[in-house]
Amino acid sequence: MDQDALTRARLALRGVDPEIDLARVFAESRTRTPAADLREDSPPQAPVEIVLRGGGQEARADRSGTRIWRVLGWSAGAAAATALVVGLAVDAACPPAPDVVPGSPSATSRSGASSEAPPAGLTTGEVLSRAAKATSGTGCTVQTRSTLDGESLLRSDEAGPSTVSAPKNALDEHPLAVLQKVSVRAVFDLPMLDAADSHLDGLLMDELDGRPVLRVRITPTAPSPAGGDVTRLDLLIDPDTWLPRRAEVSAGSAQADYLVRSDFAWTGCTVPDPAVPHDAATARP
Amino acid sequence: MYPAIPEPVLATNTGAWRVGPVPLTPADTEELFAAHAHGVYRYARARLPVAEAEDVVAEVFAIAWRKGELPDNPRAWLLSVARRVMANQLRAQHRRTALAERARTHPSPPGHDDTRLVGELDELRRALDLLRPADREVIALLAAAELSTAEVARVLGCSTATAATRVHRARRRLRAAYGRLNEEGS
Repeated sequence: MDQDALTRARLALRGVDPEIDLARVFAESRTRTPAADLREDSPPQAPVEIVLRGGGQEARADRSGTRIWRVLGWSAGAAAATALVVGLAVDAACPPAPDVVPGSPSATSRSGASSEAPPAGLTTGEVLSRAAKATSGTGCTVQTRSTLDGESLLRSDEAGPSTVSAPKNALDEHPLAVLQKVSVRAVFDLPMLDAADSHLDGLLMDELDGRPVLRVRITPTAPSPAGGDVTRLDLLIDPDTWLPRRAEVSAGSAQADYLVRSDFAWTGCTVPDPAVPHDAATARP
Repeated sequence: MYPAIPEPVLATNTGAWRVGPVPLTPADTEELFAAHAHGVYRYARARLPVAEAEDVVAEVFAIAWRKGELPDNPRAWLLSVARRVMANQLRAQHRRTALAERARTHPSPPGHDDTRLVGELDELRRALDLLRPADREVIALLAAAELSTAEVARVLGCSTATAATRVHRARRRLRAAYGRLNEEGS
């Protein structure tokens, strides 16, 4: 499996951790506390708050004696803080990014806001849970068009667990039909996927027909079709409706490898109303 | 009455136990540093040499100490400060001489996997060089601290929807950039 580019970047940066001498840099930061550089670049910021889980100053007292470092001149630093803090003005568009690579272009492209943006902070399990809910309504049907090497196959199903039987044909005999069935079964079995299970490999942001989608990568644990193994299944989920829009199934046998793409067209499903919380989503015809 | 939990944990102020503005104590500063110094360093290191990246970390936390209060999202706040500090550093050319001297007197400790580290970091930098500055910014944030889209929005100072679009584009372009490097290398 190809390593995700961002994962690769993260691994590269994690590798620099041993470089920094934390104790020395901490001490260095303390020596700078009374200094007033950056003042001209730092607009004031409104007071902010600390949250203490577990009850405030009494609980703190026990920890203070174990500290290796003490920050001197704290009061003076705190008094000067509001004049030194870099503000976080939240604008509709991102301000230009400061580029610190000498000689690099200084122009910064600005992106317009998009109502199609995927939500932030969701886990794979939460995404699947929402998708399961969206596809579980009575009267929810899906039309699935699957393609393999230019060949196409269409089928219709009513949503619900176990409404699609396991494929009986051998993979190499009817790869398109077999893997289409695998895809539809995976979508209808979403409520049975547990986010804690290891078969949920990741949640990525992707794009389908110019619109953002959430790509959930699953290593199937269900029995593989006869004569082959399903090695990977990606579900591309619409973050607006939480309905799966496409499944990409990779499978292999002793003779060949297959990649079948299945596009879903849903009707009559329950989708969340953006005006109300998810749990209060209403049915939409 | 707050629930009794033995050990207090610094957290965002979006939680259930909001107790109002409280000065950041010396004890908390160590906790803050331990939790976020590496993230700030990675962010700086994505684009700066060792000594300058360390300088960014020291400066960012010096600002935090002077601030004296914990922001509602420390990680996003610290990275936004780092972003500004890095921009300032480019203008503060007079600091470069001192940094060069410090780099000479405090060389980086060699790691057990330095060759591979340098190779991966170099590859990342080459990929970043192929990106637009805006994409570079987003990737550095995501790679350094694994920020959520909402946190990226806070650092960049824009809406979550805008940040999500930028994240999406930047990731796609990073993938393309790595692909291009692979093609050139093969």
